[in-house]
This record gives sequence, structure tokens and C-alpha cells, in this order.
Amino acid sequence: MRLNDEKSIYLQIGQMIEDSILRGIFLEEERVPSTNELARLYSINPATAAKGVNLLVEQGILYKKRGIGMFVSRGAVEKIRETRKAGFYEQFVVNLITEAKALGITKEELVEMIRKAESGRPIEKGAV
Amino acid sequence: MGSYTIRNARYMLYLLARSFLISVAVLLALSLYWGMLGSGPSEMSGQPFFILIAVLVPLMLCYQNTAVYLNLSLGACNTRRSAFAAMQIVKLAAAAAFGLLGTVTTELITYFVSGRFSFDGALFGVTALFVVFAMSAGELLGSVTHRFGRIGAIVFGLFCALVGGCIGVFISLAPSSEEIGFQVDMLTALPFWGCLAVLLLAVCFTALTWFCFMRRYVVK
Amino acid sequence: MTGTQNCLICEKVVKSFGKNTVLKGVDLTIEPGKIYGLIGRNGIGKTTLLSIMTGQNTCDSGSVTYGGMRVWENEKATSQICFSRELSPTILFGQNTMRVKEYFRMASCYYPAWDAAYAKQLTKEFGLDLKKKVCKMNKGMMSMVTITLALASRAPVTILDEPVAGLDVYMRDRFYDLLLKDYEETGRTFILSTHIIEEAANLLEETIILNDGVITLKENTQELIDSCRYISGLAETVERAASGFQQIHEESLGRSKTVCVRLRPGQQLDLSAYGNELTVSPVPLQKIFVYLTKRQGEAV
Repeated sequence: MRLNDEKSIYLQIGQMIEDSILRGIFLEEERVPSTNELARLYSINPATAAKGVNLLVEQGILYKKRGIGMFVSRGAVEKIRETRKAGFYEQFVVNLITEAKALGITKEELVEMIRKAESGRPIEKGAV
Repeated sequence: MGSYTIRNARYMLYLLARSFLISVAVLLALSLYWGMLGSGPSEMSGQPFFILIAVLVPLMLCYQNTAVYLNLSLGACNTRRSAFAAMQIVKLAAAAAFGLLGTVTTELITYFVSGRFSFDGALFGVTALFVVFAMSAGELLGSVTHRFGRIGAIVFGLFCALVGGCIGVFISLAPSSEEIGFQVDMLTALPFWGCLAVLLLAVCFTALTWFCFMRRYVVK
Repeated sequence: MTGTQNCLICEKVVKSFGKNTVLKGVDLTIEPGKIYGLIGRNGIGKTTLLSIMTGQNTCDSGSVTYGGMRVWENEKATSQICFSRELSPTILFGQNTMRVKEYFRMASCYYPAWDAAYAKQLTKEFGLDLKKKVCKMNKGMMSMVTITLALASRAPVTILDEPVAGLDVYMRDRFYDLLLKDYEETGRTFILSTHIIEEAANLLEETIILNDGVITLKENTQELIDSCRYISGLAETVERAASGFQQIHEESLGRSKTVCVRLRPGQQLDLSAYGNELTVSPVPLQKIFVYLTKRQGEAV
């Protein structure tokens, strides 16, 4: 997992933790790395890491156990899925339509592509 | 002021100790050598060399101190006042140390040569005085060199030449080769006003060092 | 660790060398417990400012205080600050024949919080030869010595001037890691003056830019990076979209144009109306610095 300069660092940290939760790398009620550990891992300032973690705490995905660390909340997986589902439209669908329009792909061609993608081919290795 | 003066003094005393030990080693070697040769009139033939060392070593030490080490010391959160105070403490320590060294060396030589001791308190006093003078001069010259660069180094070179020249004059003034040791007596026979003049010069140098250079020393 | 009142504050610091006024009224507040980056072009006066801030040199006017006390000639203040300068292979007119262990000896004498065990550990890690003379060292080794001095000083405010000059990529990485580790353990204040901006960008909590003798910028690094965006596309479209925002850079190639805008606090960049016509992308810190400090007539 590497940082890039596409989005704010603290948002990327949050996203990476969420991805890890979805993938089962961090299970619910399990401890996640501390902000200092995250900072060391990604060579970033601890304050930035803390901002990312705090964002997740605000959203209820992580919670803090005083003196011990940050833990994944019960039901975090569901919460993340819901939030991402809600954002799916903005993030993927709108862009899909915009790009399709720019290329002159019709609605019918688009639906055909979606059908094809859903039914036949196996998911390519490496795709998120 | 207290703790940092002590810290500075500690470090500068370490530098002094290094130079001192080297001087002791050189002197012992010379004294033994002269002592062994000294069957005859040249009782104090080690003296000119001793004076050279007692004057030049502290001079060089202080020169290096203000030109080099001070820059590093002030670059490591020291204040000018504490560094300056420490320099004066070290001056007194060096005066005592070299004075003692001179006395001991003289006794050793005299003993080897004539089998007796002849303690001369004036020697201690005069040596200490000249050490203080040399160190004050070294401090001033070092500060000048730090501030003005090459010019300071030239002035320092001239000063050393002057000192060497004076000593040379002393030696040449000795009426005969058998009385090369004579110049020490000359020095200890310096009238009171002579000693005072040397002391005053030393104080002037120190004051100049502080007011013209140390207060606004630029750390590079 | 660090008290809440221990801010290092410069007020209207002015410094001239002869006719040349290098610092023209610097106002800067360094709050405790953060990692700051001080960036500026060569010769702009970073080292001069830092030497004044640490009480090593005088300023013509203005004041520098630490925790409310004056810094000049005040041991209570200067004992809390470590300014690790670059070593030089020449001293006065000769070679710098000081050995590494002499520097460490001096440091242990002068820094009240000097951690000898830590220094030993770092020496081993860097593979430093204690007996080696400075004049016989390459730039990388000299940097390693200054880094060791700075980190082992354990001073509440530690300033490093060009710490990674001459270090290879591996050692630079190690340095950033050591710095973070130390910061994690001690929470002390670090100020890094560096030209290697992009690598350090993620480490610096706040970025300070010194330009034209004054501090032109002091902001949270991530917020600064978030506030700048490239907008590119067809020239007319870009110009329409970028109007109303502060533009700090523009470049054109044929019919296309790229503009770098800097959002003011509270401003949002919402270009969804333009759809696919425009590309919006983030701006690296290094580029932000270049745009904000370029001089009249300079090409970028």
C-alpha cells in the first residue's frame, strides 16, 4: 500500500484502513495500528495520520479505548459498505456517463457492456 | 552564568591539559638532556627553551581557542559571558600550572647539575605573569583572526616573531656562553614597575578582547 | 515533554550585512511539539535567521524570545535549543582536523540533555569512525555527524540545517525514519531547513517559506497542498473556470492551458459543471514552493 499524490494524505490513510477492514485484515473489535505506527510505516507526520484516524472515529468506524489504542467498531464493515455504496454513484457512475458521452457511446452500448462484464469474464487479477 | 561557565571551563581545561601534557613531556625530555650534559657552568641552560614553551604554548592555545573552539562553543548554545569567564578561569589555572612546571623543571635541572635545590619563588611569579600575558595576547589575536581572517593571522605571525625576537635578544645579551641562564635572573630582577607594565598590558588585551570582539562575536 | 508556553517567537527581526538587508522584519512563531520545514531559495537568509533565532548572532532590531524570555545571551533559553549546522572541511585557513569524537565530547559538555547512549547507537548505525577527521570526510559522513549531534542532543527545540545534503537515498530514508521515531518518543520540536522538499513534505506538519526577507507563508503542509490545484484543458475553458481564484502559475501549449490556482480559506473548487472538459489534479509541494518563490523574469 503506497501513498500517491491524488488525494489528501489523511484521506488516503482513512481509505486504506477501510480497505483493510473490508478485506478482513482488521476484524471488528480488533486493534488497528496506532497513529505513530502508521506514521512510521508510511513516513508521514503523526499529526496527519491522527487526522485520518480521527475522521474514521467521527464516522463511527473506529473507536478509542483509553490507554490501549484504536479498535474497529462493531458493524464497521456494514457501515463502510453503505457509505461507499452511497458514494458509488458520484464516484463511478457519473464519471462513467461523462466519459461515455465524451466518446459517443450510446446508452444501449453501455448497458450491453455492463451485461457482458457482469456475466462472463472472471475478475482480472489485480483489480480492486 | 554559573553552570555554563563551569561547562565551558571544563572543556577548556581539557584543552589546556592536552597542551600542558605535551609541554611537560617536551620539557622533561629537554631537562634530562640538558641535565645530563650540564656538567659545568650552564646550570640553567634549559631556561630559554622553557620560557619559549611557557610563553608560546599558552599563546597558541588561546589563539586557537578564540579562533576555532569558541566558534563551536557559541554554536552550541553557550553565551559569550560564560565562555569569556571560563577563559579567564583557565588563564589563572594555566598560570599556576606553568609556573609550577617551571619551578619543578628548574629544581630538577639544578639538582642534576649541582646536586642541590635552590627554590626561587620569583621564578614562579614571573612565569605566571608571562603566561597570563601570552594568553591574553592569544585571545585578542584569535578574536582578530576570527573577525578579520587572513590579516589576523598575519598579525599573529608578527607577534610570534616579536616574542621570538625578544627572547633572542635576551640570549644574545648574556655576557658569555656560560651565563646563558642569566636571562632568567634578568627577568626575576625586573623592577616592580616592569611587572606591573606587563600585567597592565595583559589586562588591556583582555578588555579589548571583550569589548571589541567577544560581545559581538559572529558565529559562523 | 514540552511545555505549552515554550514558543520560540521572532518579532520584526531585521538583519543587514553592510548595505544588504537580508531579513526585513521577520515575524515567526514556532509552537512546541511540531515538525516544521523551513524552505527558501539559496542565499535567502535561512541560516542567518536560524542563527539569530537560536541566540547565536545578533539582529539589528526586533526580538527573539523563547518561553517569554529573551534568547540572546541567556543560557536558560539557549540550553533548550540545538542548532546543528553543516560541518565544514576547512576551518579558518587550514583543514578542519577535528575528529568526530571531539565534537561529541563538546556536545556532551554543552548540551544538558545529551544522550550518550543514543549517540553511540547512531554512530554504529551510520557506521561513523569516531577517530576520523572532518577534512577527510565526504559530505555524506559530515551530514551523518550533524544528524547524530542534533538527535542525541535531545534539546526541546532542535534545528537541522540541510541535514540530508550528500546522503544517498537509503540514508535519507533512514534519517526520516529516525526523525519520526525520535519525534514519537520525545515529541520535541524540530525545524528542518531543507532543499529536498518533496521527500520531506509528508513529514512536515507545517511549512514555512522565507522569501524576500520575510516569512511569506506558514501553514499546515497538508492544508497547503490541498489548497492548490492544477486546472487544465482548452485555454478558454480553463480561463473561465479559474477566474475568481488566485492563480499562481500558468503555462500554455498550443490550444491547451494549465493553470495552478490557490484556494483561499473557505473557497471550494467545484468544476463539475465543466464535466470532462477540464482535468483537475493536485500540485506537489515542491511545485507550490517554486511558484510562490519565483522571481520576476524567471522561467519555471
